[in-house]
Amino acid sequence: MTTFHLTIVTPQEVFFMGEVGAIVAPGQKGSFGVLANHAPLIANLTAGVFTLTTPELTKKSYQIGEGFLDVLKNKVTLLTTSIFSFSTT
Amino acid sequence: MEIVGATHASPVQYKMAVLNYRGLLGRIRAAQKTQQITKTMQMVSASRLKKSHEKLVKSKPYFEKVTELLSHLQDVGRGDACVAPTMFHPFLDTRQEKSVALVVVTSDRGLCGAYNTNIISFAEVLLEKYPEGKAELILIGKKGDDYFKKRRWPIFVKYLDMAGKPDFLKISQITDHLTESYLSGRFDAVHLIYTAYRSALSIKPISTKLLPLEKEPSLPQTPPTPSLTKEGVTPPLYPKGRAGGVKTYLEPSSQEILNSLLPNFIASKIYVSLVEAFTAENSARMIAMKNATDNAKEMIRNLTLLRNKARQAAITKELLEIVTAGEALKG
Repeated sequence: MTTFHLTIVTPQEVFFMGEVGAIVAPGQKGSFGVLANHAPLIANLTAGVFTLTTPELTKKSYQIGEGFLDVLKNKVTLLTTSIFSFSTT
Repeated sequence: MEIVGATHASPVQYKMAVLNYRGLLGRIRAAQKTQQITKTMQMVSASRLKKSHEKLVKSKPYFEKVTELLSHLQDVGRGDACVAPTMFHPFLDTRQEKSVALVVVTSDRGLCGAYNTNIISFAEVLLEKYPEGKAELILIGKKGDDYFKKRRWPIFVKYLDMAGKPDFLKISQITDHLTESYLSGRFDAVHLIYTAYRSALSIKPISTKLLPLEKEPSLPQTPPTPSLTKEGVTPPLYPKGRAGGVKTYLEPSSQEILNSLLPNFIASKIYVSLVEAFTAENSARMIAMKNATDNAKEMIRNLTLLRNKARQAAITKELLEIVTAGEALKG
């Protein structure tokens, strides 16, 4: 699976940094997915569920606060005011 | 050093009063206890300094990224004249500064040397520049409140429950409050006054403008004339922007992103500044306590010397008495 680099930043710390296969983010106009080689994008995010798929194809979900998603050349940055991990099942 | 009873007339009496053995013992013990306390406080603030410094380092990436996004949006505005006219936001206005709000960050607790004095006198210099009643205070920290509530400047609002642990949610609320008052026209500008932390030994009060946002020199002061939008020229579907003119999709629109990005930028600026101020506070306290410990050490050294002298004097005196008594008996 083609991967891309994801950084999750909160005001307190850099929460996550690493390669992922795919993400699904809660955009202001609805949830959307990002895969590798996505076109450059800056998007508003609302509070909601953020899901990332690791290169090993396991999914991890997080509850995030409002934020922004920045996609540039296979480098994706998620900026959010808060993030909590769901217990994955 | 002050010595109790130093007014005695006769030199002998004076000497006896100075070299009061018991009294000196008590004073040494007192100094030792003080030293113990200040030493502990020094170590506590050293470890707090380390922690808040880490926090400061960790809080930078968010602020930097928000700044970066903001400048991307500004690039977007500059890169395409069709988009530029929509890049309006009251936070970017230039207003005449008739009334201002000063956010002053002080500490909640004392014993941190000149930390609060410095920031307060720095703030007063700025306050003096505005005519009576035109500058209002927003206070973060109890020490600032203690001082300013007895002064002539009105206090708009105060936040006294930060306790050295700035919380982003709480700061977002402060930001909302500030931006509302700014938008309602109560203030034409908001300045933030806090203590900047350069290193553990170098801290200094600085002032930075929160609202309206200072436009970067690269940002056009007025939107460029939309000459390109003349009929016949189709505006590009997606604005240019970013280094190298990478086309960037903006969801839902540059204006809406700007609307949510700007308050976020201000909140994160306050957050980073507060974390920095708390780091500076801890470093000021550590240095103040280190000085106190050193002073106590010096005092103990001097008192110990005096105590030894007093002990020796007492022994000499006793010997002298015995010898004199013996001589008298002989004679």
